[in-house]
Amino acid sequence: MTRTFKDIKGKLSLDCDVVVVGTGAGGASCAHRLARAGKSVVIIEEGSPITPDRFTTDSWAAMRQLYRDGGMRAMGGKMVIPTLQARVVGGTTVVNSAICFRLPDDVLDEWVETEKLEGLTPEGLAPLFEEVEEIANISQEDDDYLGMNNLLMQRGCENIGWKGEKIYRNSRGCRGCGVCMSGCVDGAKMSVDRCFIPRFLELGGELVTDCRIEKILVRNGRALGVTGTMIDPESLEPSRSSVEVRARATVIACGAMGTPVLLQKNNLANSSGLVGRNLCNHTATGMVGFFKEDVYAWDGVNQGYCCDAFRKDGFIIEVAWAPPDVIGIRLPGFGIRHKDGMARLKNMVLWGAMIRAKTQGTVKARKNGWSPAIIYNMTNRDARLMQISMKATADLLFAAGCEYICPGIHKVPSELYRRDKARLIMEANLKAEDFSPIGNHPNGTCRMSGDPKRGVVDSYGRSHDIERLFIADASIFPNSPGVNPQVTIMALAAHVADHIGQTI
Amino acid sequence: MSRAWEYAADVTLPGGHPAVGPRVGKIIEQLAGRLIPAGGLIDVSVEETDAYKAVARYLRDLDSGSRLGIKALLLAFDLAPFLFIQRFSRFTRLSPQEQELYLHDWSDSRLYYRRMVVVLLKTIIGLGFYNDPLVLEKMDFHLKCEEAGS
Repeated sequence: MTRTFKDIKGKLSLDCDVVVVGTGAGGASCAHRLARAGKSVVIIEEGSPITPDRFTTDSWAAMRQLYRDGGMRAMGGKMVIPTLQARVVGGTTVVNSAICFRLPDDVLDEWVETEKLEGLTPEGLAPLFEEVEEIANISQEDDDYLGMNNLLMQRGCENIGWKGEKIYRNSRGCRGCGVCMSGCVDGAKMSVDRCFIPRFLELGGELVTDCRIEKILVRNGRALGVTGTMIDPESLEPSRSSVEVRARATVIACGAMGTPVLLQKNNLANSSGLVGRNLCNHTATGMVGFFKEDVYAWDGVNQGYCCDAFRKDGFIIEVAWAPPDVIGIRLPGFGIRHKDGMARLKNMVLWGAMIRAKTQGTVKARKNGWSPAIIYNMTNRDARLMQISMKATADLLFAAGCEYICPGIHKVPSELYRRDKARLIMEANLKAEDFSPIGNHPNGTCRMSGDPKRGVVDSYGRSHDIERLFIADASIFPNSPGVNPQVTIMALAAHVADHIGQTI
Repeated sequence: MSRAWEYAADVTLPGGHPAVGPRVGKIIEQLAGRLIPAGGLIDVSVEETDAYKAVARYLRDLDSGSRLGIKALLLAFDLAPFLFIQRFSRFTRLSPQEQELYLHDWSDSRLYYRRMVVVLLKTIIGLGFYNDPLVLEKMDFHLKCEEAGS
């Protein structure tokens, strides 16, 4: 059963086994698993349910419709680094490029060793990954829908001899429209609102949308549920209607930004002092390349191929694309030269390098409102890694037959015409501020650790401080996994769900 | 009267005031003239597109603090040529060549936040232009999902 804003007048009170706050990758997976185990589960979501027929291909309209802070959210500090999270049933899985990787074993080993985690092994997680892959229909796309943008990277990898692969994606019937970030207008992307949530509802689960959870109910050190306010989906203003859910276990899955804000506002679960700290992400930046041939980069799967030869060195290179107005921002300069560059849109590709950043930022609740203050100052180590990754991206572009590239790096010429000139990227004395990155896949703000002094939750997502309070989203990652994280979030949330199911 | 103000007069804030007033409108118009001048391989001018309205809608949809911040930034940008290129004039009264010089001074600055101002201005002015059907047609940009029969 689904209740939206229009269905709730006055106060709605519910009782259940488990209340889950958030319907993103973590919340949806956790709730589904618990419902399948026979628990009565209520999910609360601040955003609205939006069906594919309501998505728009106008990128700025989509920002306002689907993204938190109208798509204007950014990490501050010595730089401004945009970071995008969705505000809709299905969370950021609705607006991502459907990229699916399992958590690499070496990263899991590192997490387990560093944070003294228990119950997390490659063998133990494998069935959880397999189930996620089955439910979300994760597969490699047909070549027909890859499009030239992806095929060129494949050619580049083959020519230069670097390992590359078609990216596994959660989709069914994708025809490569290239507008993943505005929501899939074909409904082909198997975001969690189209796979986990419908199954959850079929199992008898309850979903309440348009409700912002503001208070976690706690008595005698035990979580008892949550209360929240219904939000008008048109004005985004709070209404007088409210929801209270009493539950035997409370799961927070509001993402790496939302979860620490909720805990901070409630002054809860923070004996470690780590709620909102240790903000990690995959800092990424794109490079535009021009080919003599027509590429039509928007025609095909957005991100269907990657070069993962350097994953263990800390970065991967992925095909990317963005709407023309966003490409216009990436292209250097202004005036007629810039405009003439845009006229060659069909010859362009945009490839991006994504680093496993080690910088740690902070997320802090503001006194007013629910948008966090985010501070993130990229370290010299990460800037150096970004420099190396951009050089590799340039080499790959030239190996694919690129005519010239626009590195988009301050202190480096705005256009480079020969592969040997790519060395200028490495020779420049670059700082973090010389790049124009975005902060993808935020995580780590409620880190899991076996040591209560080093983590907010334990190996099972359970709060070290508050009984029956759990977290099941990317905020529990010890640090960035180095690959796109949605599948890892789903699998870890299922792991948390299994523990809840066994203990309540 | 600025064309930006005129074109976007019907985009109003909740109180009924236009999202872009005459002075800010003048700055936006002059900026558009330098950032996306008429001519070139895309022979469409800003005035032929929805770009000014898009700027107004963008400002309208911001929270009041951010809107005020961007307008203040535009006004400061207009007043600052003396500080950076030693011209005793507003940006809006400079010659096109001097305006270009001034913009280059910002975009090539050693200071990160000055460079980011140009990125922001490119974003605001470009979002409507490079999303306009006329311009998309010139760029041969057609989305498969928007084709007839889809």
